[in-house]
Amino acid sequence: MLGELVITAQGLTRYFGRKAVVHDMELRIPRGSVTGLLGLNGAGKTTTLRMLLGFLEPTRGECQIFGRNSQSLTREDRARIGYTAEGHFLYGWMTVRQSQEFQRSTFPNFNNGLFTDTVRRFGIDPGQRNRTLSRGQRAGVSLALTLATEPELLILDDPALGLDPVSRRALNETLLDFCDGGQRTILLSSHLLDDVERVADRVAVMVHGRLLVNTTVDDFRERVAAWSLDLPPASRACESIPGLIQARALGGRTVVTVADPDQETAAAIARLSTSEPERLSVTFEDAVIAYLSRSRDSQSFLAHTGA
Amino acid sequence: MQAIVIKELRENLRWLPIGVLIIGVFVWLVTPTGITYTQASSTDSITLSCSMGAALFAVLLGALQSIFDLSDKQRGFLFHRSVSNNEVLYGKVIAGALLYSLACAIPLTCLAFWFAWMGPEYLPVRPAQVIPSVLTCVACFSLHPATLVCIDRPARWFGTRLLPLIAVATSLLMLPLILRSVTTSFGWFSLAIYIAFLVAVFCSLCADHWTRKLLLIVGSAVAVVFCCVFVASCYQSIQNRRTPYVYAQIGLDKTGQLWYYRFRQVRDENGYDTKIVPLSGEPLLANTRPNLEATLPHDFVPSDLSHLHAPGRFEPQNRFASIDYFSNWNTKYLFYDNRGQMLLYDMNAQKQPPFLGVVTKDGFHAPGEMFGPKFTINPFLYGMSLAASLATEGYDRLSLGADQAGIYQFTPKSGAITTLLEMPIESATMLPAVNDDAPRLLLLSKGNFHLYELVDEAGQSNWFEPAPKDRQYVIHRELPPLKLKELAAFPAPPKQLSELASIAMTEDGKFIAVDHVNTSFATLKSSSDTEWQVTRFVSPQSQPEGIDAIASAAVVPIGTLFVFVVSSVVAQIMAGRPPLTQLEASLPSADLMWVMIVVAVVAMLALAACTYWLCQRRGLGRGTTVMWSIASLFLGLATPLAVVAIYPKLVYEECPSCQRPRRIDRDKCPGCYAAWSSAPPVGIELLEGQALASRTDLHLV
Amino acid sequence: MQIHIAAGSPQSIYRQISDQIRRLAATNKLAVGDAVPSVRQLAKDLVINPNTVAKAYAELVRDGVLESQQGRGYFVARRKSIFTKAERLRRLDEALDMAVSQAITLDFTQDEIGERLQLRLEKLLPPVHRTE
Repeated sequence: MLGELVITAQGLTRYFGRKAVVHDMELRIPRGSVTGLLGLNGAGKTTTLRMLLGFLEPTRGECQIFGRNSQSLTREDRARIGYTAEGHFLYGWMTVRQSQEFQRSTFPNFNNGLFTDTVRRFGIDPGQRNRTLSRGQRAGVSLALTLATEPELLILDDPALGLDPVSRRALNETLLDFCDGGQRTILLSSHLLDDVERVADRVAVMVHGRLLVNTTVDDFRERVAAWSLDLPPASRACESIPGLIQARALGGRTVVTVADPDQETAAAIARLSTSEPERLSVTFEDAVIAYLSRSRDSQSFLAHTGA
Repeated sequence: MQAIVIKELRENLRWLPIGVLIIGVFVWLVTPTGITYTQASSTDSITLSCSMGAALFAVLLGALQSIFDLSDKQRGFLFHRSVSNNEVLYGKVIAGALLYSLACAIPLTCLAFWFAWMGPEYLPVRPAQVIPSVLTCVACFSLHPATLVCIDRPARWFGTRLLPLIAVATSLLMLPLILRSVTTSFGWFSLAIYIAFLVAVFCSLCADHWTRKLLLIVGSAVAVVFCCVFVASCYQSIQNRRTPYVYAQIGLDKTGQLWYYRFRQVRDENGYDTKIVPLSGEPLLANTRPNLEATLPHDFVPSDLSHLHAPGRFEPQNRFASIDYFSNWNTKYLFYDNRGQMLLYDMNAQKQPPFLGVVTKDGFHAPGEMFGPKFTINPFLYGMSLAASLATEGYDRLSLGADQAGIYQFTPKSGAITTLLEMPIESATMLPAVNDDAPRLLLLSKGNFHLYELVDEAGQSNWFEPAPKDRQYVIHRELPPLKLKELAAFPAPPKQLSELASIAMTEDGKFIAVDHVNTSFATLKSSSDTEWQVTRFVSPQSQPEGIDAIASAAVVPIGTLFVFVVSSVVAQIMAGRPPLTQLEASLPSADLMWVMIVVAVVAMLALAACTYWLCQRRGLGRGTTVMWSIASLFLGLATPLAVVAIYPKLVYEECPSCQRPRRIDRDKCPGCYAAWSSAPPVGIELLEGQALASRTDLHLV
Repeated sequence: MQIHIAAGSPQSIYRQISDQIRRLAATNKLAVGDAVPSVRQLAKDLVINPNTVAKAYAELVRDGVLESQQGRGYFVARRKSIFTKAERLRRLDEALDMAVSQAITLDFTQDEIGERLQLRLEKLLPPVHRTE
């Protein structure tokens, strides 16, 4: 049903000391998809990506890229993967052209034309030294270096971090151009939900090292619903609703967000509310935030915001 | 790989000036325009100083080339390429080697040119003197890959991270010893091991290579030995401060009887000299272990044995790291230069540097003439003690010298030199003055002893005047021009005493020789006698016994058992001696022996048990655990440290199904064979194709 | 043809596209047989994932608004009813219910609402349709 899988993980777990940062992750990412990996800082996104790329050994479980264990990726495998770490690292002493040269000499399929096009899209002069570039330009060079190696899989760790709106737009356009043929796969982590909604067709949400959501964007939207109830804001009664993601106070009423609501859910909600509960429309952002707020206050299902 | 090398070169080119500066400063220190005149410009000091600078830069460069890769971002950028990890690391080493060799070559070439330009007229230097420095610089580069390994290796604790660097640095400290012994088979053997070790250091850059483990084991062993030596010396110095140290040695009384006795050194009234206060002891008789607690006779005044010095044992002659030895004649200093010459400096001279000329076997040479018959070794290294008996009588300390080819008399002030005797010399000593006669010279040559009297040019021995008994100050009288008159020749003691270190002549003309490990002595009734009578004895423990012996019994297996026992046995075999002579000499008395053995065995078993527990804790297999536990009997405390360094720490968590602790990195619980239940569902997982509930009709509400 | 989409809206992006094309076709801004932009082109123009556009087009083809011609792209289809009469009525009622309940809360009388509805119908639908 998912087609050919590019990334797979079984029971992928990583501890730092006694703390599990990534917990029993089952991950399947099909070829041709753009997956947005969402989660708060510290939810385990970067750790997951580093394990996928073989930079970090999993404590238990394993993950594969192109069917090969990440710990034993060969140079040929690496040539098929493009990776940009968080913060768009570039050697400051190199010029853009030298960076290009360095990348060209260490990747077999480097596409000079693609590099030049991408760099132009971000408005960068190739003679500039990397350390004089603005953040957006650095992101551009970094992305151009990665894309020009013509990878089949692109793994980006928060590529939009600190970018201005124009650079963000350029980033999105570049990514969409990249996956044009439908054969290339992108896995990117991000905090920008609007961009993810536009660019991604799949969404994965990590909370406390656990992968709670991994499905298509539309499936995700359709399966999250919200109601406004006539219930005192501080009430813990909501916790009994099956599939409750989050309950928050809003203007003296309580808004509950639930996953996969069914008749049982509906009945539970109807029982709790004194008046007829009001069905609310849920934006993509609302749905994601409902998940992410859980990790803020995982002890209590009630997140006391506003009111 | 080429791209990595070029990138590393360009990136780290900025450290090159710093490297040139560091090594340049260390080189500058050894030029006469640097800090000192006295030790400057000898090959040794150049080599030592250069290798210190080079070692510093090698570590610095290695650290700078790799420390930034610890950041995830930089690591991700550099290592995610169509290039293997090993290629990246070896690329770094190649680039590092190029930069390092430039940083070494620039100051050393400058120094060589400076030497060539200054020439021997100004200073006794030659460009070729930098060659040993070049060799040590090459060896010091091994610190660079070791630093890369330290930083590349995952280790939680900083201490275990440094182990490879400790191992390599120690091997560099051993290098001069190895090179000096390179003419013997043992020397070649150790050089081969050293080269193999260097290869292992480079191999250990590959993360999975077994040499990385080897490097960690060596590093652990060295670290533990250093720690034990440090602790033991701290303990010793505290102990010494509390109670004055009691020595034990062999001495001779007036009747010619050998004694084993304990004594304490006390400062005399002037505070200048120390005098010996005998405490207790017993005469050495056949096959006994003398009782050091026995009471000495009231009138016991020991006279010491002279130590025979065997230049032949120290071959080759100071090829790389000899010691500069200097004397002072008022303001004149004479250095031994390891090219076989003595260099004369005058500290009062107006000219800078105060180099006066060169003394070789045939006499004094003005600056610029650097030729002449060479000494085979530093004539003062042994000549110093050769003339010690003269010095105690107030004659100049450095007036007589000896090398393997002859005896020389130096005339202070002028630097002139006279060859008194030319013959192959294996060993030499000066027998102390007896009855106000001049001290006599005893030489060992081709298996025979030769006894010489020192006479003046007229052939008379009355030139000698003993020092005044109540001297208040140290006097340096000049020796008159001397000659040697052979008094007697007689056979040397048998083979088992041939490595003898001490010899004495009693007042009645009897000779007594004691071997240097203090296990046997031999007597010769007179110089006309042809048979030595050999007596074996057991040397008693010289140190205060009791708690010390027990402590050392505990420390030895913990820290140094392997290093101490094995190295001493190997060294004895290589030298062609029975393997256990050295050990036997250091054993305590019989009653304490049992305590010591028990403590040692208990300590070793405890260590093996500790290693076993640690291996279990680290989750090692049965075979590996047993291997490490056995290894702990040889490697001592280094074993647990190596286990800690090699195997990562495991974290245990309570098993959700059987509540016993279980390893977090194993899928199955060893107690209940349960797999990790994948995290209990929270009820809000949204995974494709796995609807939690069917969504039929949402319009109910 | 102009389509605007907004991320972060309660409607998913694919629904925004399909609704807008549906409306354009309904109001004859897109005539029958007109080509709509290719999936890749529209995705590029809107800076969205092509799979999203593809999904919207697939839904429109399923609902009979567009038809796909192999190798040539997507075209506006001749309108045909793919729903049963009952289903069409249910959908109409649903839409009207929503509009009417809103209108009532805004305090309009029955006549006023009828009049406004009539005006809109006249404006949106050409006279030909009305006589049909």
